[in-house]
Amino acid sequence: MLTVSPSSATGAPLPSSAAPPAVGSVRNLNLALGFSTALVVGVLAWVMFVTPADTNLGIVQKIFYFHVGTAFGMLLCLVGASACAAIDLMSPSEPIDAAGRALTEVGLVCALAVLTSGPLWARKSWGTWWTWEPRLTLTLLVSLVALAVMILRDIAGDSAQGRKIANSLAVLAAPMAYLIHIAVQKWGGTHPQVLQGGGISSSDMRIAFWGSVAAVLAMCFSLAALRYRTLRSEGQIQLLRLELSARELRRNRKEAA
Amino acid sequence: MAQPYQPGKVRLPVQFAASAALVWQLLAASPAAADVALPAEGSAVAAPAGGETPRDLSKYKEESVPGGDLMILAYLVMWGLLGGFAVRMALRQGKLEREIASLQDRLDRGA
Repeated sequence: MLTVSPSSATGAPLPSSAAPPAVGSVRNLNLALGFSTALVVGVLAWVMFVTPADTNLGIVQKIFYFHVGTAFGMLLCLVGASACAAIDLMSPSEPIDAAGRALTEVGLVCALAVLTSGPLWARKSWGTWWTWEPRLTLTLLVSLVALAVMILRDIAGDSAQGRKIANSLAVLAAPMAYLIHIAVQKWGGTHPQVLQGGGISSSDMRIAFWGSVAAVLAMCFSLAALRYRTLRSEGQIQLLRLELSARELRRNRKEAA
Repeated sequence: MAQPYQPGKVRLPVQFAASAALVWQLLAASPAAADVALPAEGSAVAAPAGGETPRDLSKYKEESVPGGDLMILAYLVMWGLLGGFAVRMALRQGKLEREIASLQDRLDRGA
């Protein structure tokens, strides 16, 4: 949310930030959403109809393509949110704050997708829904941190103090994302290491894998841009309301005089 | 400017849904759930402890976990979450833009 000065309601000219912020073109946003949706549909069709089923796991292995994609999306969004939080802590800025909040929310949605699809794959592959192995546990923890940041920001509203606390918490997401990345190599665990463990041999599977990663990342980018625009529009509404109130106050004062 | 906490203004449907999903995750991860899910001792699909995932296919197939159902459920949840977020944000953005237009109109008429 935008922090506004009460002086604008007392007749003083509104700050220059009261001008409607440039929030990007709706057409570009719709194009990005349309492109990422088309990419997702195309890759989904490729995964379902072209990519062969895994000889060991069978069809359930196809969860893996989008599961890894959403995990990449989660890590990138949360690292981005962490960077925005760090910048906003050093020099507060509304666009950076909105970008950080948008990335946190998209990162959390991806984390929920990862934490749901993972156990469904694990049930078939490992015979259990969940094990407290390092990568899974850290993913759950980083999701809880993102959830806490979102709730803190909503409760804090325009409070600068609340914003600082939420940003301090959000900064933790970057080291946690790094720990998730190195967890299997560092502490072991059951999580498969596809990229570090020799890669994918079948070319159809490779196309499905990288295609799904690209599709999910494109979708994450579009969703973050959409959420960023929503947050900036909310700030714009707040400023317009403030300006209306200021005008009404000036009119009332004039009439009283 | 710092504003006091206003409980009436806080609407958290997304956060509530996210909390519910995480609680579900914790319940699914509880020892009771793990006990039910774990196969008998010596089974090929027992959860490995820090080693490689066992892949004895003959015993693995005996358990008959419905892979297709799990895959469909996973895809529904994944795309449901991302799609739901996109639809919710698009609807919200439409509402906000109508509100901006209305406020701008009031300001222009006032000027």
